[in-house]
Amino acid sequence: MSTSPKKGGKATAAHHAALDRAVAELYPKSGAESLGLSREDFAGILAEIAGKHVPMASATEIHVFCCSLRIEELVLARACAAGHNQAWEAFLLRYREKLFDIATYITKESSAGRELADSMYADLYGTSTRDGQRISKLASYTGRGSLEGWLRTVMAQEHVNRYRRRRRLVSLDEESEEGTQFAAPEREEVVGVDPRVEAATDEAITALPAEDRFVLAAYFLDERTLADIARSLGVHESTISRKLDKLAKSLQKQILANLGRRGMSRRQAQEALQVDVRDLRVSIRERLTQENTHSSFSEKKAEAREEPG
Amino acid sequence: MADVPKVVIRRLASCRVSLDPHPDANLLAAFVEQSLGDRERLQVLDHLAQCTDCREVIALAVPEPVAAVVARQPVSTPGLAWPVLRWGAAIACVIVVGAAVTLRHRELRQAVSGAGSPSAVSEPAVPGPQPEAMQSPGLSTVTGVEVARKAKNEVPSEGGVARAANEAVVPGRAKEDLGLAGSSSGNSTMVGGLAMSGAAPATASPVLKTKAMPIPRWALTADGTLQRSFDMGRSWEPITVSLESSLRALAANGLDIWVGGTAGALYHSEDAGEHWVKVQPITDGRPLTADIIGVEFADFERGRLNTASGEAWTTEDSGLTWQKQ
Repeated sequence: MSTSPKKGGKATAAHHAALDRAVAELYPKSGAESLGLSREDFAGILAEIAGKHVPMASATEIHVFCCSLRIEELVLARACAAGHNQAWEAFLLRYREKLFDIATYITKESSAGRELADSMYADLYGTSTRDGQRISKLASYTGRGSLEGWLRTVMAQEHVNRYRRRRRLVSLDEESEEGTQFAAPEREEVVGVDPRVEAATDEAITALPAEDRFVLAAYFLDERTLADIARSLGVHESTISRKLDKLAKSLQKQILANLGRRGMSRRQAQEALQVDVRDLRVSIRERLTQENTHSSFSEKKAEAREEPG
Repeated sequence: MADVPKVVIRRLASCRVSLDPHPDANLLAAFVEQSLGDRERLQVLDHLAQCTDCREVIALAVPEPVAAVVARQPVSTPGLAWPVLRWGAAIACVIVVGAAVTLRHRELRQAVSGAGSPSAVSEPAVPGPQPEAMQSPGLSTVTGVEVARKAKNEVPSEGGVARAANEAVVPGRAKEDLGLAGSSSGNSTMVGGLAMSGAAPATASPVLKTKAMPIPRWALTADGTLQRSFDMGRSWEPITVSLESSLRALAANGLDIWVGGTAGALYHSEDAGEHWVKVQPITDGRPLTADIIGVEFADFERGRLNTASGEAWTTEDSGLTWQKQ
């Protein structure tokens, strides 16, 4: 059996061997046969996914990667995409209710949730065709995470996209009335900010690890709660709280140092930063006391509907 | 108090739109589930730090908190759930049975320890039927008709153990002599547990099934004294059954014991010797008067007596009626 981990078809013999070994190991326990997928189909799926996610990996890495995939869920999704009825029955039995629950959780209201779930069903089944073949969204599932997690993410993407599309049609008054869920706070035009301060700040932010920048953006731009951020990163809420506190202190210190390197005296740098802080500061403590007060666009919309008149 | 200068937020916002292609749903889902490798995780984080849309997707794709999931579950009905009730009932049954067994065990221990004491003789349920005691209310003599009536009207509780000394001394029943194979003679005979004297099979005892009493070992001394041991023969206590007769043979089956002796003396206890009933085998109006030298009971109902005169008396109903062979 010959399989290719690279889309260009330039796989080495070692790659072929690694994929063949993975197929031999995983196919019997994947349940693919009972769902109507042949061994060749299965090998093709693995080769496609390996070529997409680990195109330059070694033979050992390819084997480890294949073994890390959610093989049973991958087979189920791909069998559904291929139109096997038995797979669809299993999929609907397992995920029908979950899809609606997830959609309701994302949209925060049942009618919108039902609409989102129905739309997702259509995409999963494949209403459009290409070259006479039905295109199912399930064909893009690669088994990197759980199928339920993937469905959740796909629905979240669809929800965000819908909001973005709709937002273009919402009038300024309506948006102001309803509030916004997704948009980060618009940039305020600040006149008279010393460009050296911005440069020093950019330098300090850029030097931060990606996770720290994510936490800062999620907290200060998106106004996510500590609990939300913690769940996104799989850590405890207090970890995020400590990280934010530490980041705030280190950032200020680093910006002052960067301003010093840009020719400012210590006092000048502190004054430049204090002006900004005094006028525009964000108190973490205040933010912490405001936890859980953030309501989503949909929640506000629902509340507005419930109000009499 | 830690503050973040607003310029930091402005600068974060200034680079929030990423021109890179967004990570696909597979990567984002794997990121949320913490199943990405370090390299891929850093790549995704780097993108998320700049991309508002993907941060929104991540925030929505994170599964509901546990509390929210619980809140969405159907409200359970008040009261205890069935699994709790089932397990609770099972535990309660075990406790009740255990308590009953423990109490019964203590009660019997106390009775056993008091059996050899002089004060126990004067008690109503006194062990060791004396000739005087046989006339007392605690060990009355009844006729075969009365016993038969009792047997019909009363269901012996727990294998008949509760039928005690105050129930009957049977004066006569079916009376036929049988030639018993001698199970004991002048030598001391010891019977323990389920084994009966002679070759009696150790059948399952209803007493054993229903009672948690210790099973004693029995012995007859050369002078015809019955002895009992509750500690596997390490210590023995004499049991006075009759002052008139010298005992010559015994058969024990769990807590059930029969002893026979001189001049047709036959006694039966269903509670390990706590209470005794004198049984008078009679058939055709003629009582058994010969010395009993062997007693066999295959089970609680079917027994056989061998006499020194060569007679064999059998019973099929725990000594209510006898046949002489």
